Amino acid sequence: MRAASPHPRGAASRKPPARAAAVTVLATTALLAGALGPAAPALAATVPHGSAEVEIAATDVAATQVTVAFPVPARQANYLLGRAAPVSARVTAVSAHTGDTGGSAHAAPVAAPEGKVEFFDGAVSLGVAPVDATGTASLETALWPAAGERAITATFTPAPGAPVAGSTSSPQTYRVVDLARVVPDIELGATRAATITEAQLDWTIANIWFSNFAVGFDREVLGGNASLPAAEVGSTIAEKQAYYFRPFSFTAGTGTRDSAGNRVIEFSGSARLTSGSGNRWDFVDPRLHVNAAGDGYITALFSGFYHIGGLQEYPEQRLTIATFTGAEFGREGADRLTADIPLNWEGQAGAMGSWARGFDSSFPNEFVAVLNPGISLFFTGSGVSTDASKAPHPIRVGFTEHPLADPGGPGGPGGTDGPGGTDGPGGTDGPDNSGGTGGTGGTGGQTSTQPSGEHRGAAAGTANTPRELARTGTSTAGQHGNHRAAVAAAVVATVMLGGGALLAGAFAARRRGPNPTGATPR
Amino acid sequence: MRRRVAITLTGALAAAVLLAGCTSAEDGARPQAAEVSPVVAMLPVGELGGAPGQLAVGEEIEVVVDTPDIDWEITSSDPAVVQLADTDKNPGVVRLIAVAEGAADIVFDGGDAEARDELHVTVGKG
Repeated sequence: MRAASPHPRGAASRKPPARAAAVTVLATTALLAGALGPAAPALAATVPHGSAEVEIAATDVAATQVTVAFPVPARQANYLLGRAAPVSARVTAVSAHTGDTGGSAHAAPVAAPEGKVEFFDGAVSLGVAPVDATGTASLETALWPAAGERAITATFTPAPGAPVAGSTSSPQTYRVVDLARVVPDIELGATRAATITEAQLDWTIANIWFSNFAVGFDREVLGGNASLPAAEVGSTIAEKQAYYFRPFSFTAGTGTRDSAGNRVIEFSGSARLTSGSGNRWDFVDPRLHVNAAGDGYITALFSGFYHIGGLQEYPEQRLTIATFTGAEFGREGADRLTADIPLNWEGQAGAMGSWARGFDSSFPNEFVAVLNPGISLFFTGSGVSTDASKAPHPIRVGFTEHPLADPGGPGGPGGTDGPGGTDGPGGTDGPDNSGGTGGTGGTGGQTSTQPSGEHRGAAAGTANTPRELARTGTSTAGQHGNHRAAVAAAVVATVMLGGGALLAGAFAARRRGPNPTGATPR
Repeated sequence: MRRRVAITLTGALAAAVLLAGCTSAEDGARPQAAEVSPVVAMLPVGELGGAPGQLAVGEEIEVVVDTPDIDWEITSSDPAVVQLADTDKNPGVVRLIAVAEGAADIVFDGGDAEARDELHVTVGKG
């Protein structure tokens, strides 16, 4: 219990005139406090002064009012799911009575009550904090039960004997952001199945259109294997948009596909977006991850600044800048794969109201969260006229894939187009068109260990991912003209027909289940 | 504990009397809560339409202006209700401060029919 002060906090040292009334009342109440014993220790502390309303009966219990403070502003998103952030409330005692002198009902704030405040997000307690001498209760909590728009309340409980009543606040809105990517991590497994070269990524990165001002983000290439189409800004809206929406082309990317169909492609190049003179965002060496189902994301080394009313530098860090779901690759020639891929927007904030009331559209949260909140809405839905233009434009991805003959060795080149024995990609790398490098049938044991999509491919004697199959409608062996592989596939498929068909059915059923990423299907 | 506090309070009567006289209604020296930011929203000028239109006295909205080619004329239809501050910098942060109950229209006028953003603000009791 905090020792009660017999005088209002914050009293200044100077002596104003006309204090007689207050002195009298305090003397009276202090004496009453002594006379009443432990039941009224804080009474003097609740008595206001300097006006007639201080004539409170000694037995009064003052009402209180507790107010949850606004979220504490910061230079980036401050309230993140699972991370501690401040929440506070102010408690004031209010003498609510029919004044002895004025005769009319009124309420006046008095000194800070003693007690504690418990904060809640719905029914979930965020913690308890004592009320300090200023009437404020503060704590840091990581107990947010969920992301999105949260209604935070506070309940004040008076200290035992304090002549004040408890109270509960009105809800205050806090926006809690979940940094989790909507597409889970995609990393290469130990067994590499193909190398990737000549990759190209056409990507606007971001493409808002400020319709009020008829401008978009300015863009420039900083270096490396990146380029922008030459263009003039023009004078019509269409010309201006064509200028501001130019995609960067990152070229000469290289990468790897593993036996599970995961691909990681790295580019070397730097691009810059700016908005006005106070916002610079650099994106360096983008890296594309995509799994066998066509889900993926693009990361880049992000840095830059916000320089409006002070400089805020964004330290360089690799962040997810875009995600996508269900990319469908088609073929251009034998080994060239391409795809036009819509990027996720709707639902990507993860929870309604994470950034703006009533919206869940955004760039990936881990990117938006590092930006100054003064401009972060450029990258989220927020209900303004520019919203439609904020959604990132689709990317175009192309690359050439070179299957490895010896995919069993982690990281080894494995030669090219070898037979591959029983571990051939046709059996174990079913999802990938490019996997027709050897013994396409694989073995039963290997088949049974593969993800569902690969099972389906193996059982059917093909090596396509479902997405690729939908686009091409042809088998791996046929596409690659690998006759030996095709024959092997046919033999193995025949032998395994009974069990394989059952497996295919079982795993096909699995694939029809819910999207485990939770991302919005595109 | 309670008895000790009560005794302390009684014994501190003289000091209480003196200190009570040290404050006045004139200077509003009531107990104050710790400083709490009154900023309820920060957003760029193009997003003004998405700002909260309901404020309480003492609250404010910060509007980021960073448009090198546009000189804004920023007005409040009732400065006694919503006061504007820091309107002269570009880039800069314009503050819309609710100072009294009422309503006001805030307009950012860029001198062009397209370059315009506005917000109707209703201010309630703080």
